Amino acid sequence: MKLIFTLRHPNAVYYASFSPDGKTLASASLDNTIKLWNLATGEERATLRGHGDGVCTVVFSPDGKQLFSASLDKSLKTWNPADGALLTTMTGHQQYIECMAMSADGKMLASGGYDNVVRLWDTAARAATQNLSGHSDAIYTVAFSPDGKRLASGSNDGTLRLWDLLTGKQLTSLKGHLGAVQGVAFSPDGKQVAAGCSDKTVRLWDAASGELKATFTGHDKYVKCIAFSPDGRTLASGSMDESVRLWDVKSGAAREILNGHENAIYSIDFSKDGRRLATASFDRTIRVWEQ
Amino acid sequence: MLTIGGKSDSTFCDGISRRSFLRVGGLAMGGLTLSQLLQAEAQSETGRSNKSIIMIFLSGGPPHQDMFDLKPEAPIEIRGEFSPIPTNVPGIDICEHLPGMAQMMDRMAIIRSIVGSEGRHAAFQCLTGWPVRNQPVGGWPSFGSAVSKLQGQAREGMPPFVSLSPKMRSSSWSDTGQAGFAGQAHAPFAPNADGTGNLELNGVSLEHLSDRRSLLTGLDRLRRDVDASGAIEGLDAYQQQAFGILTSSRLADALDLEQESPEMRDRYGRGDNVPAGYGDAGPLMNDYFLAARRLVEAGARVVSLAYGRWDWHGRPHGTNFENARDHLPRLDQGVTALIDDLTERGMIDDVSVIVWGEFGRTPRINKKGGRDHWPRVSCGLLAGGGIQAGQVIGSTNRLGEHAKDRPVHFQEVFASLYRNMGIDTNSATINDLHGRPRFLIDHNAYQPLPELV
Repeated sequence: MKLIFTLRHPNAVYYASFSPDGKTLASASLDNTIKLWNLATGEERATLRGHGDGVCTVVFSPDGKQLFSASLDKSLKTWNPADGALLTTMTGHQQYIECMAMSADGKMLASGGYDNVVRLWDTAARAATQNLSGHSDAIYTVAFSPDGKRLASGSNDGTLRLWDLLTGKQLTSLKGHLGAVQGVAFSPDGKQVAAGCSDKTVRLWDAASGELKATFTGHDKYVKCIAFSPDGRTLASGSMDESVRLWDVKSGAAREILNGHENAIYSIDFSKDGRRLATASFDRTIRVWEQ
Repeated sequence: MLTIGGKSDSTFCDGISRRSFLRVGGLAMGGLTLSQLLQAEAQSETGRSNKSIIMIFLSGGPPHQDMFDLKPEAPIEIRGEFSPIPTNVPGIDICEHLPGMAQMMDRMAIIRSIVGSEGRHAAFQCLTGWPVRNQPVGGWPSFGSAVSKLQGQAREGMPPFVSLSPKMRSSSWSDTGQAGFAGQAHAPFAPNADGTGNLELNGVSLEHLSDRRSLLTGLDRLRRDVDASGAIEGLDAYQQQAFGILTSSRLADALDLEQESPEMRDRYGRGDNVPAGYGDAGPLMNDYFLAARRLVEAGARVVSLAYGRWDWHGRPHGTNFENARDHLPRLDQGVTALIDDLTERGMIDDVSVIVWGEFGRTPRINKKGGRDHWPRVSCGLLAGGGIQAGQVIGSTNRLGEHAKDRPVHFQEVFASLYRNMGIDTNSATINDLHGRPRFLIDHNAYQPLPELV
């Protein structure tokens, strides 16, 4: 992949995600703002202000008409990406929020942070619906299964848990990694769970049996974020070692290494067509890469 | 705005007050008028010295073991992520993220064993040398105020003490330096303290201040009025100094970085005028370093500034090491540009530069990837002022927990800075509000560092 844009915030960038149509990128920063970028030109389109602390995650709704953000200020917010208007603020977390994910159908949000609880939110009602308790330390990452029935959560307590969202019960805890779980993702077919860990590895489990299927090694420092390509063939990982690695899911080979960031990489997102990759870093930049 | 007005304890026939005052915006000089600021018994005899100090305060407590005192042999949970690199002085290694400083270590001195921190999150001790607790009546003057009191203006048209520290959410870090019992006349001129940034005077852009026509129109009118009444002779020397500052372009010029070439600004690194890190401290504004050089060149005796946000407790505001990788290269660029620039201008032996914070950080990395407060020992960097460079003073034990040998107290550093200014801390005193002479530091306990001489 080749670098096509380097986009800048005046402070660390925690997250960047593509709009469903791939025309806009939303980025979340420790500067307390969200920025919207025109991906035809690489120009900044808007800066959304309203959070009172760093913004850790920002995602578009599946129809692209809403934007959801989570912040260290303990709140989640809903925005209109067309005009930048703040629509709703949702509160409930007692401590910093560190992560947030949206279900594929856009009906649910899950958030986690330093109160050790995963909170589920109904995006239509804009209200909390359920808490998942069990982690004993900060929750660093959450991901919905594609069918929205399960949730994976990774924590600084060293566990990677799978939850049944119908019952709110923990299904299993995936084993094999050492240390904190930094990033987690389901494969597009929902059959596999991948996690990036403090032990510098990317690991792959069978989502049904919980069996560890593969361990990808090569990063020099902990792996902070991961994402599957839409076709499920590639797994991208970003690390504190400032590199992005693209792994062939079948063989486990590192297909490509993307260098250029100058600090830890905090998030990775593929565009829907799989042609572009956005990486956000503590180096204050978002880099957009294209095949 | 620039206001020229009068207050009426004694009014001339034309309505101009005998206590006419001049004000630069809100002035940010402790809320005082410029004439009040200057209205003190400045020692004109020492007012010709061209020595000066630039202090760079690293708000929050920089990690000594990740900058100038790496511990590569310590266990992983202590040594952290960074590797030491050799400097151009054999035997001195510093952090890999300070490569510029490494190449000019022969022009710097590192202190690895600073002790005596009060443990308070504040600029106070780095500005005064004293703890906040148990201050004499009126409060300890910050060193810039003490120098202003003892040496007065170095050059007409320039305040002796300028603080470039910006307004921050955490006011103890944005402290521009109290005048204390030196008197409010010696409070710093603080152009960034109102939070407007961009080196604007309160409510007054540099363009306005340097718009000499509108400025002088007002002043000329006042001068005419006052001269007509003969009152100019009644203005005291300090009001005339105030006239001097406001009618001189020296201060405005010094603060106007547009007068520098783009190459020079790039060399310093410019910076983002947005609070760094958590957002409660100052920005990483390398422009301040350049402004500091311009100010001392123009005649300021002391310029202090706060830089960045160094209180790195860990996630979710980034680990100690992520923040260090963000801050250290910028600091490296700014400090090395400043020292090179001072050297090239032939000023380096007259200008003392000090870079430090209020305390060090815990040897053990916490579970959030941060390091917490560690008042037991910290580090500092000195350059210029004619010091003996290319050396490390003091050391810490194997884990960087405490000073192993040659503990250096904050006040020893201040004694050295005052010495560089030509002020003998064994004899110089300033009267407190009870009229009792006060030494600048506890001179019975602390003397200038002999290693630096």
